[in-house]
Amino acid sequence: MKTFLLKSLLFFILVTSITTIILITCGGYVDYFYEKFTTPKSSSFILGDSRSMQGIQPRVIDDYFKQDTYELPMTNYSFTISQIAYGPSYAESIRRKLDLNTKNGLFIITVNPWVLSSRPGFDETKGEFFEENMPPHNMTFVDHNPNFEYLLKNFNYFHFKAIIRRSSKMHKDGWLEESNLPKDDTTLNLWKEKQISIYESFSEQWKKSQFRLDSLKELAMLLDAHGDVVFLRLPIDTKILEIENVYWEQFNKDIIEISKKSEVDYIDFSKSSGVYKTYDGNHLDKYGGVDFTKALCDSIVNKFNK
Amino acid sequence: MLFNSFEFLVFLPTVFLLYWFVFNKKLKVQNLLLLFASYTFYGWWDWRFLSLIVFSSILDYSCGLRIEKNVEKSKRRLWLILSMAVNLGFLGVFKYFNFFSNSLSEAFAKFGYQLDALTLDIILPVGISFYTFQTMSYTIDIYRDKLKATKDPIAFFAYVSFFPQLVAGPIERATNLLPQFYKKRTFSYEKAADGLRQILWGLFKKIVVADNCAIIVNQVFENYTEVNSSALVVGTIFFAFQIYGDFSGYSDIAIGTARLFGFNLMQNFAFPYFSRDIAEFWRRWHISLSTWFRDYLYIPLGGSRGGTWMKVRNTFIIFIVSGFWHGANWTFIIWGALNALYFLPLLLLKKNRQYTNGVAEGRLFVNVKEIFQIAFTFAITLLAWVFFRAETVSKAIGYIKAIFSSSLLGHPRIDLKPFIFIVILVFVEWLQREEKHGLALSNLKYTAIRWSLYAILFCIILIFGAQSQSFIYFQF
Repeated sequence: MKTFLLKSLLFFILVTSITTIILITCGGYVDYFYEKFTTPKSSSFILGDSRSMQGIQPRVIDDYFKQDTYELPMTNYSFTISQIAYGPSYAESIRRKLDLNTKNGLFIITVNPWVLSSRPGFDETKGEFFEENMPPHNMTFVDHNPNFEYLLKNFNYFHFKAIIRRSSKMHKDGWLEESNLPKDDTTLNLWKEKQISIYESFSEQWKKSQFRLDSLKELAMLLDAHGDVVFLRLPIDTKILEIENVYWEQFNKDIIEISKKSEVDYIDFSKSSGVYKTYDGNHLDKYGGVDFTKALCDSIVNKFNK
Repeated sequence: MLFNSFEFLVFLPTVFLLYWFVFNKKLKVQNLLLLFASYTFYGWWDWRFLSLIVFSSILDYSCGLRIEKNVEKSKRRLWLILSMAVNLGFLGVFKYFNFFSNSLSEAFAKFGYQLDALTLDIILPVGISFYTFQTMSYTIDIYRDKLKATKDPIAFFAYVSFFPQLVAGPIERATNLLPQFYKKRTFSYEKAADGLRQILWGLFKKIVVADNCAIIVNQVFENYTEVNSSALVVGTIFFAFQIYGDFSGYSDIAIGTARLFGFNLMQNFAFPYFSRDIAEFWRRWHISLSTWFRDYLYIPLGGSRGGTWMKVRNTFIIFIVSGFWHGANWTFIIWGALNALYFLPLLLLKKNRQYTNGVAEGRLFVNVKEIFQIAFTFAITLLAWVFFRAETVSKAIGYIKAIFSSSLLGHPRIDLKPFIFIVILVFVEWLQREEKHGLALSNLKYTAIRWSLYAILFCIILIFGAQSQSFIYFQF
């Protein structure tokens, strides 16, 4: 029995070592979110869904604000619409990732109708949250490297095949880089059509949520104590924007109202649709993302007179 | 609880350590631990269905004692009928009620009568077909005086619910498994180590082969009207390996897990795709079910004794019932009937037992004749698998019709990557075909090579394993 246990332990160590090596060397390739939980606590954040996860590049912001304007480096702590909407769970995870000693951070909270909506089958006012058992909300440890908690709780999110075919990379700063995008317009148009149909179905089933709006306000107030907070609406394709405008006609007005109440600024880039290049109508590609992030920095400077 | 889940990764070592280090003093306590572990394992899906297993266990335990106690044959038969009626009744209600109700309604509709089908909105309890057959074998064997009724309820309850094979077999006979609960189990290093190797091989078959094939199979079968003919053929080949990897993988994990606890379960698959005719295939595929039907249905019906008509009738009965056991759908019945048709010529020509040995025994390669035999047997099983996989008979026929078109020789416009895993599987199993499982490496003396193989296999599972999917046979 001793030999058996010893050899079993040896096998366990072998397996754990292989997994650890893969996580440390290829963590950014094998999972879209894993790296976000391996970096230290941060003082500045980009928050939101996949639009900001791909569209706002922290390193551009770090380069822009080199001169001690903000406590950097910036961390992109965005996820996708499947995992997040503004609410107590996301706020709690942000609190865990935030360096609580921060006094002069920069917090870019991206907004759109979908991250402020209620989904079918879940009543937030009764404590029912679709996001409860997903990352980042199911994570207690958000700054461990390697992060075995993430591996155990979210194993189904991993796609280890990606260590061979590296089509996308989650950078340590939280920015998701899609590097192997198709070059033909036919495929990209198909992707765009798919995005449009997804949002059309959202608009039929989802409802704007006062609970999520209140949560956004609370989050802004929480982060305001640690630095400058800005609400941001990203540029998207005009067709998707049309769907959003029909779904939530007074969206900008509602956000402006909240921003006034919580004394933060609102930067609306939705009118710049077509100026910055998206690959599927919804996500800025990495080149469009650089231009956009620079323009965003310019706007922040103007807003806060930095 | 799924074998390929993190829950099981915690559950198995915990039970193992408790079994050998904490509860190892008394046999009864050890059996009680197994019973508790098995109920936890099963209750993880839906604890409400535990009541069915408990009820079935109480009933068969009591009926077994009554059958043994009574000398009068009529009374013995009465208790047996009660046991079988209740067990089959559960199976009938949970698995077949809606099928019969719908079929009856459709039959009436054909004669111009409208009859609304009464259907039940119920979930099929996981593994009900497996444990029902297992408990029935107990009472039947007591009735036939092949087995003594147990007076140890804990051993009996643990036998019925033994977690490694509870939900998808192998369907163990009471004569083989139950006595193992009476005897003190001793830990055997060789047995446990080989058990772990079998588990690893089972995981490869399930997670890498079956789950990767499943992705393509689902695409092809759902869109069979849109893909080209060669893709349909490839889709069927992938399904053949999906179901083999899925089910034999489960059996490997079950047998390997049981060996960790000192139990020996029967071999359920013996490399069936290397069979030279369909009779050999059925001696190598789902052995525990085939032999169950042979012993409890085919032989009591007269088996292959008697005249030609009786042979034909019995062959069709056993294969159709076997098909129906898999699911309440006409597709399974046709799958069974097709296999009966394949088998019948061999039986009538008395050639059904010409290959009782393994293929190419003592040789590395097969000869040309054997290649053709294996390919032919595989091809006819493929045709039957189409019915097994299709949702309806008309879809299966449509699928087969669509195969025979001009695009049959064209390039299949689907992802062919699963072929790589199939080649690895076939290569390893061919080399190991005289062993009990693909990773039986106890004769391999070089530790470094053995451990390298484990590491490579783990990497393949981790990197190429597809998204976790439930085992197909859970639904049966």
